Amino acid sequence: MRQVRVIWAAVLAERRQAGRVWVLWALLALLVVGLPLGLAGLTASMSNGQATWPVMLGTGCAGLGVSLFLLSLACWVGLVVNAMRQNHPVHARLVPGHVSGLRRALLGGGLLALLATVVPGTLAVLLMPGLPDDRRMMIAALLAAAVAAWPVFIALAMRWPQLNLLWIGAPLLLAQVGSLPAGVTKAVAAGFVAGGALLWWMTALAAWGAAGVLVRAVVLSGGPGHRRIHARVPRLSQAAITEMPADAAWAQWGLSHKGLIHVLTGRWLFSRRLQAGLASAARPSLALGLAPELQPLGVLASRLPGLMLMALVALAVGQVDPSTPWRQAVMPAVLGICVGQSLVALHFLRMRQAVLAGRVDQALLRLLPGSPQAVDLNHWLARQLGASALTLVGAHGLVSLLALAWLGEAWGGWWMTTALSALLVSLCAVPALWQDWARATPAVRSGAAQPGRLLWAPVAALGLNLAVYALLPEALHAWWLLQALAAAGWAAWQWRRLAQWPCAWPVGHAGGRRAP
Amino acid sequence: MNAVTPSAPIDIAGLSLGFDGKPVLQGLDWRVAPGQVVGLLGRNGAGKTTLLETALGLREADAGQARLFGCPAVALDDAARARVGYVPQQSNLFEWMTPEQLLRYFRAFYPRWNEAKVEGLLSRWDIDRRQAIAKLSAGQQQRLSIIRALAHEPELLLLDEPVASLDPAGRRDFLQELVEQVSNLGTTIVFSTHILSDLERVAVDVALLEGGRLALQAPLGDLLDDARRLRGPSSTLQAWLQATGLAVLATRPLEGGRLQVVARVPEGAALPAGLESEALSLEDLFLAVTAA
Repeated sequence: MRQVRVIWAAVLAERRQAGRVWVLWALLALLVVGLPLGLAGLTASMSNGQATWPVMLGTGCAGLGVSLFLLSLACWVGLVVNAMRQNHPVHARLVPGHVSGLRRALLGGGLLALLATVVPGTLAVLLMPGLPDDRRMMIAALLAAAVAAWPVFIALAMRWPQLNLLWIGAPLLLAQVGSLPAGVTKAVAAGFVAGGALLWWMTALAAWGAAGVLVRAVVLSGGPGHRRIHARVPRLSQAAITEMPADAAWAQWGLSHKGLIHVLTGRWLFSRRLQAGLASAARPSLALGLAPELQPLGVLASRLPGLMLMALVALAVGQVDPSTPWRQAVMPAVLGICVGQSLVALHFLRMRQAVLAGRVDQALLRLLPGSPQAVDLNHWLARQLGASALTLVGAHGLVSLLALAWLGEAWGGWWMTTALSALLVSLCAVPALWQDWARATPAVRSGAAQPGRLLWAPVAALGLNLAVYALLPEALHAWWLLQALAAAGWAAWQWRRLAQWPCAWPVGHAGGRRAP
Repeated sequence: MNAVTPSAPIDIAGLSLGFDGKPVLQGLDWRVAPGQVVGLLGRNGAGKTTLLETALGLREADAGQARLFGCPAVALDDAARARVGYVPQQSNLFEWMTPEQLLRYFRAFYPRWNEAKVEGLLSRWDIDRRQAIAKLSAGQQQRLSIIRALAHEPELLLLDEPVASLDPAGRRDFLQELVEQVSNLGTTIVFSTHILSDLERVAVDVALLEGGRLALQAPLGDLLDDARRLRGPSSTLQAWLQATGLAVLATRPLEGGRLQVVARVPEGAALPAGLESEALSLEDLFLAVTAA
């Protein structure tokens, strides 16, 4: 128990190092108290005071279940990431009881996360009016069995990211289940219902047992491959904490000799493009020194896997009969992902961090003959960032809009309008990348320390667009035009300011601080 | 091949390991006796780190076996793990913690923990207990790594270039601590280093890794007494070496039919006429053997 305590304490220590703990506590309090109370109050107001106390209590419990689920999710992700960092191959081999301690800590954390979800969820089901008692019990048991899967899957997918491919496979599998003859599914369901409480709770228990066994696999014992797998963990954690390019590894691979871009464009074409691009720009050293995230080809290489995944999911879901309940259930999530991908401006934060992370090297590369200096350098970097950002917007926009169209969303409909608004907002945000890089400071601790305007401004702008669409739909296109004109004016103003700012990478930056 | 001695802190037999088809360790045999202090030498890329990591079971060998206290290194039980301390070349400390938190963390895993020693070293080596490890200097992180490895009073301590990030004062403190560790607890210590003067101050034995094998392992004092650079006519020198059966460490032909040999020559051995003999420092010996 002492070992489990120190392992959990290590997770909290990381959180404390990241800073702003009070913000976290405030959000947690708001979530745990606000959501159940809000839902209970909403139930009362919607029923014009007719709702009974048990109904309001049940709704409140459901709200508490949701907020505790979100809370458990956040805590579980934090515990798993930190446990993977603690699971160093050297400690796994040489520190007595380290592997078993980590496994116990994960099992304990997982159990708490499950209980935090299941107990209020079960209470909500048991308090739900209008259900026969045996059904209540069955739903509660099914809920307990079903929730066992989420911590396991999250933990395993964080350790082995390739498991995320199951997001493609799962809809197809579920679609197959949905296409089974009605007699079969009915017979299975009837058998389960007839099995009684013992079968239901045994199923839940078996699911929890299987979850426990699988979660243990996340902690490796220092064998072959552990060193390689562990090398990925800091990158994962770094991406979560500092918004560094999480997919820089993808980009490196994409640009590499046997990478995705080579496969798609052909080695010859890519080599010629690269050489021509570098030669015409006459900035070979600086261009090569930039992170993949800051080069159009690198952007494509890093983004294509995710976008292809999204397209495949949309393709799979689009194949399913629109009248099936399963498709109706998953459609909002799929559409939400497509639209969410359109808000590319949120990725600009990573580009900003990539510029800052590489500035020490760039300050040295700038000393090489042929490198641009002063205002030329500022403009060159602005062009580079602009091209990368436009590539990002283009790639995401194309895939999102095609996916939405494939899923049957009409132009002018809510989802399509949201996606187009998000793309426009992203386009308008490109000049935000033209910054005074000589005086910009990297975020050294949490993502919350990043400049807010790159985070909240696009979200707020999107919200404004949707408000216009909801209140004055006929004025939406004029509003878009107005935004585009304002953005063009802002871009021109920023371009002029680039000439007044100091050189982006002064040589003195060689002693500057890197983001961790 | 050495006979397996269950109580030997390190017993390696026929160890071979390569990376991408390039052999690094080739049928290496090595046994370290209890209480021995061994300085492991070798040029850059000779495989010192690989040898230490394989000895600890952190890498699996292509052939051969490493045993610690009689247990296979790749499957140490908790009792054997508690007897081993290791300071790697690259820090494996949890950088988000403070030194205080880190030491409290590891204390929970070891059955024995010398808190007084930890406190003493933290104070003596001036390590801020409340500062995040990520913000400590490389030297302070190295010191903390050493404290962590010493805290559970291991019977076997392996250190991979432990003084690489330390300033001269830090190196002196560290060496003093090693000497105390040996004299008070009889700890078996193996450490790799490039700083030969440090090794001369601490090591009792020297092991020299060359060509994937231990080219030399002997007590340091004996080596400094015996190792000689001999020069003379090739025929005379070779005939004398053959007659005496002395261990030749390195050979280099010279101009005019002459030969230069580095060999261990016992004190008082009579040299034939025409041969020149010269005593060697540890550095000369290292250069002569590794250049061969």
